[in-house]
Amino acid sequence: MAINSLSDIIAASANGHSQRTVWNKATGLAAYTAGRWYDTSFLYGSPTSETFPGTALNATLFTSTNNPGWMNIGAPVSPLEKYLVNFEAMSPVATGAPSWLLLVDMLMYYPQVNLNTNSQQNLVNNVSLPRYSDGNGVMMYLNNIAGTTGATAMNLHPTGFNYTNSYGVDGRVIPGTVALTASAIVPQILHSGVAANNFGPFIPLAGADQGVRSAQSVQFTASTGLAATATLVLCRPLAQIPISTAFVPFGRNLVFDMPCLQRIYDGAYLNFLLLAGGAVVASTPFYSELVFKWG
Amino acid sequence: MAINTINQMVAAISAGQQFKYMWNKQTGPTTAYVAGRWYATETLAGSPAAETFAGSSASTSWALDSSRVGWMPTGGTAGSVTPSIKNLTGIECVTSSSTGVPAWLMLVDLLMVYPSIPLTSSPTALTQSATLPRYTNGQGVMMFMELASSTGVANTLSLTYYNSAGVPVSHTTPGTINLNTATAYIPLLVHSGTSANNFGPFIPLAAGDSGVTSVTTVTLGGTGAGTAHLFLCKPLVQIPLTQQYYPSGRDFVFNMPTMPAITEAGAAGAYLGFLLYAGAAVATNSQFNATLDYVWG
Repeated sequence: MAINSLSDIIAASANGHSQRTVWNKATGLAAYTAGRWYDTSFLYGSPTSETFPGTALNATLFTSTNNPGWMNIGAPVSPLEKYLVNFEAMSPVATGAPSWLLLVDMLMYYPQVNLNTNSQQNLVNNVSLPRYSDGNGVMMYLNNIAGTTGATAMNLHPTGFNYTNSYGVDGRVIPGTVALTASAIVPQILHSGVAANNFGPFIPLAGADQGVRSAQSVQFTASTGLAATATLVLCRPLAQIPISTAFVPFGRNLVFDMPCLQRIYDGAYLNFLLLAGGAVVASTPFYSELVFKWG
Repeated sequence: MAINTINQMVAAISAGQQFKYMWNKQTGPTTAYVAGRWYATETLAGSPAAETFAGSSASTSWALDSSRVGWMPTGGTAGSVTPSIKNLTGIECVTSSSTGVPAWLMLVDLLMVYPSIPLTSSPTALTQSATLPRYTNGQGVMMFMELASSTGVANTLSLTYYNSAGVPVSHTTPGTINLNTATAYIPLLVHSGTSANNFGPFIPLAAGDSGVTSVTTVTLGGTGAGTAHLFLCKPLVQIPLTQQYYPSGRDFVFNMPTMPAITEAGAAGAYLGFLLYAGAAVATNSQFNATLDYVWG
């Protein structure tokens, strides 16, 4: 079973195979910095704040039961298949625009990466990707979830940060310098920004790699100097939407506007990553409405 | 196999025959770009990784496909979905740099390169060790020359090449083509700009020619310095960037319905890259992002 035509989309609506989810988050107590990406799963709202539970450095799956930040996408529909058909986004605060929201399917994470050490931190992989299992198109980012990083300049270690690509080749390393931002607040994606060698939202992969299956180790070239921890997240990008003006909702039709109608697997953990286009002030709300259909 | 209807596109997506890639590059750390000039991006750091031309030989043709380090993923096993046909359905791009706008991004299929050609006065005969891996008849295939190491003085450029009609008739670029001077730097398309006889992003072809299959010699009008990479490519789509932090989107199915096919040669995927037309003095370390959506069937 699947949606295979425009008629199937209409039939799904007629049969009540539809779910509408309202997402609402508010930024924290400090202003954001233009040009940096932020992980909104950590923010309070609907759904509630993600805590990234789990044993330090052990691969952990995002699930609706394990993770408080799970966005309600409706009950499982198998053997039918669910799709995101359109969504809309808005911020009522002037500094919340312009911005860019990227919807991702969060798959797996390695909690409690210590940012205050330059020793290699080996990761434990007792579980594997629950969806997109070969890793094709799966990307990584490192978010700050506890403490503000210090002023020390630090990079991802050129050889001490290792992952397995979607072809199953392990020992892959980043292709050049990837700099982390000093004094990064929660929940910034640490390697994003506008300074030299910042990249975002995802960590660049080695040449010709088109995805990540797992990560084996994390290492930095220096300690941040302050107690701070991060989460290494593996996710797959689904869709994106710009916010151009405060109070003006922007809609995106994934069938006729940017036709990339996205399959949403049962149990998927959806989340928005935010590119701040201004100094987003503290406690800035963001809203989105997502419409799913299945057939 | 191909996507011939909207319903087939929906069915293909439904079957998981789609891929989204997030491209992210940062301009270099040394010198700002110059308004009115074109720049290549495949040697810049980011996602995908910077192209290093590892394994190539100077002035010798080298085919570009999904096996190269600077390849941009487009979906499918090792980047290819043959015998299915892959189409680009949409792009959205943004820059976080105030000097990154206005700009124009052109997506091209980079087919072949003659790397590290010396920019000297003697004609350089190019060695043919590879042929076009895609668009093999050269129809619509254009050339650009990207600076690889600093140029010396201003020069003129002429090339001899075989057009899309193939051998045996060799053609020469028409008129005067001026290269930029010592202020030029990597990864400038060295013949582009706003001075007299600058052209870009592509090197003009002889009258009546509609494409290129190979290049035989490169000649400069005077003594120069440095090296340049000569690329053969096929232009696919373009998208403007008008305001910092305001993403610009383009739907190639309903908005600008070109829905370009991404040509693949067997198991080897296409090697796509963006060319950037700077509308301002793009500052060093400027960030550019784009999302690209593909579907196949």
